[in-house]
Formats: sequence, structure tokens, C-alpha cells
Amino acid sequence: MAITRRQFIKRTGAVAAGTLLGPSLFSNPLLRKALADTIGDRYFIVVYLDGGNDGLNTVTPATNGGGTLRDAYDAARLTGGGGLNLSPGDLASTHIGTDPNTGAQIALHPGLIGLKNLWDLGKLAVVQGCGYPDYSLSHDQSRSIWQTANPLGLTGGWVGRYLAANYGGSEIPAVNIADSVVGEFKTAATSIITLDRLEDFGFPYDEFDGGSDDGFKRTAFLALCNAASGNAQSVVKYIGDSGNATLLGSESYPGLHSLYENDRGTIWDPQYDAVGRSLANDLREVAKVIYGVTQGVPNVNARFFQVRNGGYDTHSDQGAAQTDGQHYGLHRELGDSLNVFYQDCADMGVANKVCIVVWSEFSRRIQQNDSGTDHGSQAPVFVIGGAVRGGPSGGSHGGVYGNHPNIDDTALDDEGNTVYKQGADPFRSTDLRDVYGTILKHWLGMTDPGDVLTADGGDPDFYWTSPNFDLGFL
Amino acid sequence: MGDANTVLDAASARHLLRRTGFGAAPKNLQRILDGGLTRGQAADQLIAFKGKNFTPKGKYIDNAHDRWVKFMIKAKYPLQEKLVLFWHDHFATSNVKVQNVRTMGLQIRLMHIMCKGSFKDFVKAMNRDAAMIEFLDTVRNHKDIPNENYARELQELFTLGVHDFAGNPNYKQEDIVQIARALTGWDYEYNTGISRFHDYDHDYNADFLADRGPKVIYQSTGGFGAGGRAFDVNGEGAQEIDTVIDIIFDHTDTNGKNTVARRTARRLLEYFAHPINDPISPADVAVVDQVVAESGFDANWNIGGLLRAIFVNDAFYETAAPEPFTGSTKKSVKWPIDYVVTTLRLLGVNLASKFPYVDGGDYQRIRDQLTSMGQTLLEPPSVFGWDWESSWISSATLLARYNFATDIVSARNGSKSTAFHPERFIQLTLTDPDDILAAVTDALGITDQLTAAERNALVDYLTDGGANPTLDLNDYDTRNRKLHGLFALVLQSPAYQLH
Amino acid sequence: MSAALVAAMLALGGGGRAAATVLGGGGGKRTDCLAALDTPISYSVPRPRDIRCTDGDPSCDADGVVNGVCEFPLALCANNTFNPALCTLNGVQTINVDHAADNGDPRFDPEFQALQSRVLNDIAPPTTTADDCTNATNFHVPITGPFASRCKKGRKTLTITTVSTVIAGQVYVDRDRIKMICVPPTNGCDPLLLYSGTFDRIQTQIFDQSCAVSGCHDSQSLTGNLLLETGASLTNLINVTPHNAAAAVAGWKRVTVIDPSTGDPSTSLIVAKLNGPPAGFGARMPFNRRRLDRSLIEVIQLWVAAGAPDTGWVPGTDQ
Repeated sequence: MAITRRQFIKRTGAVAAGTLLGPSLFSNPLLRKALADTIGDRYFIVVYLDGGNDGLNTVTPATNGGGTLRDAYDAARLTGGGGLNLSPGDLASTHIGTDPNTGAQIALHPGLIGLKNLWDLGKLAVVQGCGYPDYSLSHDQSRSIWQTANPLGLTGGWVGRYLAANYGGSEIPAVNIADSVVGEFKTAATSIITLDRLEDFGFPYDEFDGGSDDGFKRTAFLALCNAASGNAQSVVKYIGDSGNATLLGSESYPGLHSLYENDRGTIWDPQYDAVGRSLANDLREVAKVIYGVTQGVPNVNARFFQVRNGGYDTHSDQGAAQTDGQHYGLHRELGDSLNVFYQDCADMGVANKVCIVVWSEFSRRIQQNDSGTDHGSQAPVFVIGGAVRGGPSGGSHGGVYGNHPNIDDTALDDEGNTVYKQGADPFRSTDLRDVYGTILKHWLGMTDPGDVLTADGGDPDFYWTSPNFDLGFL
Repeated sequence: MGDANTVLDAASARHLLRRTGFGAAPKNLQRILDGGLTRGQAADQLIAFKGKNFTPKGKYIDNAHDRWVKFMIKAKYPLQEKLVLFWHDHFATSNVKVQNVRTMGLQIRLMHIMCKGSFKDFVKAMNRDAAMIEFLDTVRNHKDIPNENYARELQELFTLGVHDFAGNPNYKQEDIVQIARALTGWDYEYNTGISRFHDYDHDYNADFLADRGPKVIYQSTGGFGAGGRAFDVNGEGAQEIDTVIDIIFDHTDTNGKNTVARRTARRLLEYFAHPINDPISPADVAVVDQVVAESGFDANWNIGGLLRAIFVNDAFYETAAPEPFTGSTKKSVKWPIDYVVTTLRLLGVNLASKFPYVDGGDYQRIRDQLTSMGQTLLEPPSVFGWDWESSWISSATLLARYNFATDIVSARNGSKSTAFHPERFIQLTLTDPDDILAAVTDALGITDQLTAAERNALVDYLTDGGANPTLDLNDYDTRNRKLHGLFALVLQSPAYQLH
Repeated sequence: MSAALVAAMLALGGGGRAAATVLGGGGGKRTDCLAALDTPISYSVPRPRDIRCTDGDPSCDADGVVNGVCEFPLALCANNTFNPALCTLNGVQTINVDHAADNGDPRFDPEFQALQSRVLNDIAPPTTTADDCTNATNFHVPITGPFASRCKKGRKTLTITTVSTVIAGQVYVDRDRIKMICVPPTNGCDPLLLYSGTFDRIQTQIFDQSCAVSGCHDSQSLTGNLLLETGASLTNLINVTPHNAAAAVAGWKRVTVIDPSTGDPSTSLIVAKLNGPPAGFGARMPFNRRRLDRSLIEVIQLWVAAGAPDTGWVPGTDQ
């Protein structure tokens, strides 16, 4: 459920200072213990690429290796005007690991130099060919399936189901930089703040009198909540407790902006500003919250975050390696923003405490159209963080996990997209639930991710029937 | 203790109006009290509505949503809307999957038509409702590739429930398979929402022609005996799926009671009266059986009759009990749509513009506000509908309610119909804080619901902690500061979140 | 924006030619400076809101070849200063491109979406930066036709609504409408010149323009489970059983191919759908739009009868 962002007038310093020093519901030792048992002092950040990112021009085969991936790529992605072919030369400086199946040299799009930097630091893992059976080409349906991690039906988000098992309604374990709670965080059991900018967030007071009556309103509101909190009837008490926590939470978050600006702004603002894109600005808000948590700001305990970047629905005018191309610009934005954010976290001393997952609702058509690509199927996922087994020495193929999908023209389905497969196939896909399960189990400390992730029935060669919650990247 | 002949007092009458409509408006309360109406008389008047067959329409789903909300704000018979909301939750269908504004609208229209009639006819109609056919995959249920989604939910959620009151299963997987077979061959015309049975689709794959033979269900449950009930005799298509419903409605549980009647009565009691625990307590079972027996719902399936039995029952009035509350006092949380529509209706505030919003504060669209409160109509979170009661409450959803309350009281400058003018209900000559508080809670219909501690907190607010023992509401600043502020606080109070 | 471009820019007051073009959307009001389109190409500007190019004209068609499509590279700039006397407003809150959402809008165009996405990512409003520009989006405007060797102008209209921040207590709205016109060259209407073969013509001239569009047979909507986009259309058509139950029961295919050089238009649903199908076979296509030109239906019929080859020219389809 969302706590919506809200413009409000600046409050007097006295009220804000009073609340920062005021009593905290979250200093309740029982709640503290719950936190320690679940995620400890870790953070988890979801980055969603809205529109369907072209995975083939994100994680690209630069050579054939022992297979024919590069030949198939050259057949599908053209050169010349409107062509989307990333030549071996374009990819020369962004090589990462090799494809576990074919041994092909895998490279990042040249715009992803920020991610290449994280790769070189050993902090980036690439999970290839992620998807789900019977894929949908609709943005909404496919997004919803990735968010619910339940191709069989609609229920709350996969992160939301995890949060529901670990947090109560008056706790605020998560922040979404969004207008309303995003799909993967949906749950009725606990609270999620949604905001655009921290400094604009706060408790809603009627603005008639410029705030002169706010102190009395605040006192009366707290008295109402406290009266209810002391009631023997459980629902009345619950509403009182939640109202109390809501007021304190809404007063704690706006201060995180000035706290960060005072302590870190001089050094880090120029770096975010140099990227100058919306994703960098959104990630900076996340950094402000994380900084607040590290500084022990009362009532600030969020450890789960979501930010989104739009523009990936590149049906037209996608561009290949040209630096003024649409896709290049999106990749620069993604890589540069994540690079600065990671460095910022490292400087705060939490490099090994953050885990970032980057996903999109589908990849795009293997064969390009005039100057862009239509909707596709399986896509690569990025996982970034200090504890991630990434980079050149991440695993047996560096930090490249999962097989590159088979993009040979003869292997595509009737829609011209790569095919989801399980079982013993050399081009076996990575089910998105195994990606999530690995995170739930090896980052979020969940003993059995099967409690949150539903297996399919059906033919084990084509459906996800035997979970593998250990893809190895964490 | 009371019955249908108990004359309603003010507290009970307010409760009846709150639960069967959107808030207890003073003029409606007065009508009941002036008439000296009994529980039975008031219930009969409420249920006798001749409602509108409203269809939410629009180019996009949010347009349809907004039209429906606006209709509720003006609805002459709020009980009809309360019932449609119940059925929208019961037969929860989401446009996120259906992706068709027209068929979603037609389903809501169907609910307006069927909301208090025969429940059996209602379920038969839902079998063939286009949005439902899409949502629960009847369109994807083919003879060669069966999809059991609808057959399962039809039993689990719409009629029988997984378990009966004694905790025994009401059906087996085999019953789902057999009913799914009967439901093959249906789809609907995308642009008109008219559903169709294709006989040839039934036989599409010739290898499966033999599958057309007899289907038997409930061989081990339902009180039908070892042979269960076969239903190939009435032919295929519409007749066949109607026969399935007839059989389901004959299903009896391990206590020998009609399963559908008991479960439906329980759900309506939970909606209108108070939460019921799982497993259900003997006392609640007794209430369920009492309202079914009184209304004869297990034979006539008349929803209106069942409602009357509920509205005259003591159980219905339990959540209105005044303090002191104990651990066993029953309370029920207002749905977000109830919170919004009740407030707008009681305060006479209309929504502004084509993309309707409250004309003050953030100017956030009402649909976005409702989403933040946890309820987007036409997009329930799953086939289970919304989670009720304390699941409506979290920091996030509460802040959304607080935002809405503040938006309302800061709507000072809109047009005549979209602005908030408390002087319409509150005599500005009042100076005593207790009198002012009483007038405000009367206007909001919760006079009997605030606890003494809440009352004290609000009086303290009006007097600035006792510093100013009287108020001059004719003073522009005082009125805008304190009277508007008091309205916001009452709307934000724990008591107002209940109903 | 680059210094070279700034130097070459000219505000459009009365039209005419310039070394490069800035399109304020007409008028000469100061709100025009809130958002303007910028392009490195000098266009013929017959009216303040129209830009015009002849297919293949190297001076204005960015792809430079006669291919039935004119390419217009346009960048959007916020807080323009090209006319210091006029441009006194600074501060852009939002910029919205019409028909940029793939939500079934029949006028949706992925190129509008591309521009909108560049605005959100490159400019990231709100902005007060002067001359804050996107990179250029290449707009492709096909000529209309050829229909039996006749061709007409093609056009595409880009509409942009820009809302300012609160400037001295007031919000300004700049609504710009630019029409891009592609003119067929005198000898540029020959299908043999424009397309590489019959199927390329069908894909480019028919499917891309009339079928694989938002709300229809594109990947987002996938109506009737039929996808007619590049790379998917052939495998979705040839000897595939149609979704329509009546046609399926009758034994029809979307395109019935008997052997590599023979097909059967009379049992190919695509042909019937374009002509107006028999009862029970659903609606005529394109749905709720004007009937396809007779000559184009004939191209499809001939192509089907010839076994629906993916390359080469089927006799009679090059008119």
C-alpha cells in the first residue's frame, strides 16, 4: 500500500527537531529482532526498465565461440541506415565473460560503460535468457507476470509477499520512487512509502494558516491515535498504532534530504548531476534514505527500494552504437547512474550491503524492423552489489550466468522470438523465479523461497517444475 | 436483544444507515426517528429500491471507474451500490487481465440488475458474463487443453467454499475437472460482450469426441450419495452449465445444511454486520442458520429476503456498540470507497473536472487517491477480491485517507458544488467547543462512535489546550483554522475509519 | 545544443528557407520559445507549421534515397533563446507528445513515443536550462501508394503540448503542431524501385501501415493471436489455422499454400478478410478503417496464388 508523495509547506524547525528526538515505535526490541532475522543490515534495490529493453543489444555476442551466435546476430541485426548491428569493433572495449553454453565472447552495449566499470570491479553479474513459459507480448501482462512472479494468475508482488511475511502494517520497510506502489512490492500487509522527492514528502496539514495551527493539529492527532492505541479492542488499537507510526514516519523522511545534502552533497551531488538524467536523480533519493538508515535516524528503517527508468519501447529509431542514438542514451543513463550510486554506497561503507537487480518486462524481436525492434521474449537481468559474484573472476564464466538464448532464425518461434525451455536443453532458459529465488534465499535469508514463488505443472521440458534457487551469482 | 419489531433508536438508526448506505445523513436519520420505524420497517423500505441498471462506460478503464464513483456519490439508492460493491468483490474480476472496458462495464451493469434478486440466477448469469469468461480463462478452456480456473473458483469462491463449517472439503479435484469439461466451448464477441457457445469448438479435436459423454460430480461430497449427480441428460451448452449450477445449489454440507446458502449468508453477514473468524464459532453458525431459516434463502435464493433477515438481527447491530470496548467487542473497518463516497456525500462536496478530483489540497485524481487507499475499483488485486477489515489499514493507506481528509477541508475556493462550506451544516453562532464537536459529529453521522478519550482530544484542540474556552466561528480566521481543522481531525480519527 | 546549430538557427516568423530550421509551431508568440523543434536540415516551409520534402531529395530526406519514405530528423528543445527579443520565458514543467502511448490509441506512432522518451530521458523536465535539447529523432513519413502506379503525398502530424513552470505567478501553455509532408518524386512511384520484392512490398506498404498498428496485429495487442510485424508475419500466416472458429472448422488457413509455387486464395482467410468475409468469419479488415485499395488486395491475392514466396516479384504485383 502506498504512502503517496505530497507537496506540503515547510514546517517550523521546532516541530521537525522535536520529532527527530521523539519516541520511536521502531525502537521496539521485537521489531528490531524481526529486522535482524530477515534482512539484517542489508538493502535491496529493484531497477525496472520500462518498455521492454532490447536484451540482444544489451548483452551481445561478439564472437561465435563454439557456436553460431554471432552469425545469427549479424543475420538479424543489420548494418547501414537504421541498422542496429553492434560490430565487433563497437563492442571491443566492453567485453565481459563468455557464454556458458557456446563459449561465445559476451560484450555489453558500448553505452553501458558504467556497468563495464562495475564489471571490472567484480560487482556486476549478468544473468542471461531470463523469462517464463507461455510468454506474453503485452507490456501490461508481461510486466505483471514479472512483478507477481506468477505466470498462472495475478496476486501480490513477489517482493510484497516477502515483505508481508516479515513486516507489519505500521512498519515502513520499503520506499518506491514512484506515484503509487509498483507491482512487485504490492501487499496489503505492510507499508510502502511512494515519493518523488524526499523534501516534498510529509504529513498533510490544511495549509490555510501557513502552519500556525499545525502544532495543535499534530497534538490532537497524536492524542486521537494514543487514545485508540490504549484501547482493548484490537482493531481500534491497531488503527491507533498505525496512525502514530504514520505521523512519525512522514516527519522523519523529509529531513533525510537535508541530512544527505549537508553531509554528502558537496562531493556526491556533482557526480549525480554530471549524469544529469532522471534515473540518477531517483537513485540519489534512495541513497539519501540509505544514508539516513546508516546514521540511525529514528523511524527510518527502509531497506527495500524501487526505481524505474522509461523509454525502452524502441519500435523505431533505436540506434546501434551511435552516441546520439536512443538506446545508447538509455544505456549511458543506466550504467552511469548505477555506477555513481554504487560508488556513493561504497563511500557510505555499505558497498557489501547493497544488492541491485535490473529487469525489464521482455526483450525485443530478434530480427529488427526498419530502425527498431518489436516485442520479444527472454531477456538478460543484471545483479549488482558488493557481495555479488560478478566481474572477471565471478564464476566459471566470469560473472555471466545462464545461457544466451538461441537466436538462430530456425530456432525462433512463429512470432520470431526466442523460445523458453527447461530440462536438459543446451539453450535452457533461466526462469525468472530462479533469479528471484536466488535473491530471496542468498540475499534476503529466506529458507525456502518456494513459499513465495509458485512452480508450474506440466511438461518439465517446457515449464518450471524443479526450482533452482541457487544460480550462483550470490 | 431485539427483533424485527424493535423500534430504532438514534444510535441504531445511524448504524443501519452507515452500513446499508454511505453514511448517516442527519435528514435520513430524522426520517427514521420521526416515523418511529422498527428494524423491520426500515429494512423493508431500504430493500424495496427500484434501482438503476447503471453501466460504467468510457474510452479507458479509468473513465469508467470515475463515472461509477460519481454515480455512487449521487446514487438515490445507496444500498444498491453497497450491494454491487459486495458482488464486485465476490465475483472479483480485474480489467488488468480482461483489458476490455466494455465487458467490465457490462459486468457491473449485470450486478446492478441482479444484486438483490435470485442468487441462483445471478451465478448462472456470471457463468456467461464476458469479462468473467476472459478473467477466469473460460475462453482458454478447450477440450484438448482444459483450463480449470473458472471451474475451481466457481466452487471455491462463488458458491460452496473450500470447506464447510465443520472443516470438511466441499468438493474434490475430480469435480473441478468434470465441471471444466462442461464449460468448454464458450467465448464472447470482443466488441459487444455477448457470450457464445460454439458446439463445434466442443468437438474441435475429433479425437476427443467421446469426451462428450456423461459427467458426474460430487460422488463423495454434497450429500448426493455414492452415485453423485450426473448431468449429461440436459444437453450441451447453456443448458449444461445451468444444470451444473442447479446441482451446486443442491449441495449439502456435512451438517446436512445447504452449503451455498450457508456460505453466502456468512459472507453477507461479514460484509454488513461484523467480521467472522475462521473456523467459524458456534455462535456465528447459529446466526447464519437463523437468517437462512428466517428468509428461506436455501430454497428461494432471494438475496433481498436474506438481507432483511440480516438487517433485523441483533448481530447486525453489534459493531455499533458504544464504549467501553473489550477484547471481544466487534468492530469493522470502512472500505476505502465507502470512506470516500460517504465523506463526499455527507459534506455535499462534488468532484471537479472530467478527471475528477477534490477541489483543494493536492488536486490528486480521486482514482489515484483510492488506489493509494488500497482499492482500485474494476481492478481488484486477485480473484479473491480485496482483503477486508484491518488489511485496509497500514501507514500507507492511512496517509492516503489523511490526504483525502485534508484535501476536502481545504477545498475552500471551488465552485458552489465543489467547495467545502461547513457553515451549511454548522451554526456559526455556536461558541461552546462541546456543542461544536457534537454538531460536527452529527453532520458526519458518528455521534455515538467517538470514545470519551477521542472527544477530549478534539475539545482540547478547539480550545488550544484550554487557553481559549469559547470560539467565534463567525470570525473568518477562526472558522477556517479550527472548524475546518476539526472536520479534518474527525475524518482522520480512528473512529471514523470504522463503520 | 551545438554551437554550430545555434548559429544556424532561425526563428520562423514568415516561413521561407534557412540554413537550418527551427520550428516554433507557428505564431511568433513568446510561448513558442518554451518548446521548439530543431533540425540540421533546411526544409521547404510552405506554411509555418508544415515542413515538406521530396522522397530521395538529398537536401532534405535524411536517408537520401528514393525508397517511398522521407526521413525527418527532429530534436525538441526547451527554453529556447533563438530570438532574444521574443524569448523571455524560461522554465518548462512538462512536455507531452500526443499519441505517444501504446495503449490501443489508433493514432499511436512509435516515433512519437521515441520523441517522448527522449524528452523524458534527455531533457528530464522540469528544466530551466536554456536551449535544453533532445538528440534528434528520425521521423519516417511514407508516401501514400503506390496504387496501380499512382502515388500521393504522405503526411504525419506531430503535436506537442508544453506547460511552463509557474513564471511570475502564471503558467503558460505552448501547443505546437508540425505537419511533415513527404512528396513522391516524379519517377518515384515504381514499386520495382521502392521494394525488393512482392512480400517486401506487402510488409512495408500494407502490414506496417495498416495492420501491425497499435490495438491491432502488433505485439502489444496481438488481436486474433495474429502478429503481422516484420520477422513474424510470414510464420504467422502460411498454412496457419486461423483463430476464427468458423473459418477453422471450414478448413481454411490464414494463407493456404499448396506447394512452393501454388496457393489457394479462395480458402485463405486474409484475402476474404480484406474483401469482406462471409458471415461468421468476423469483420472486414482493416477493422473500422477504410477498405484497402483494390489494387493492393489484388497484390495479396496474386501473391497467395503464387505460393506466398518470401522473396522475388510475383508477376502483376509490381504496379
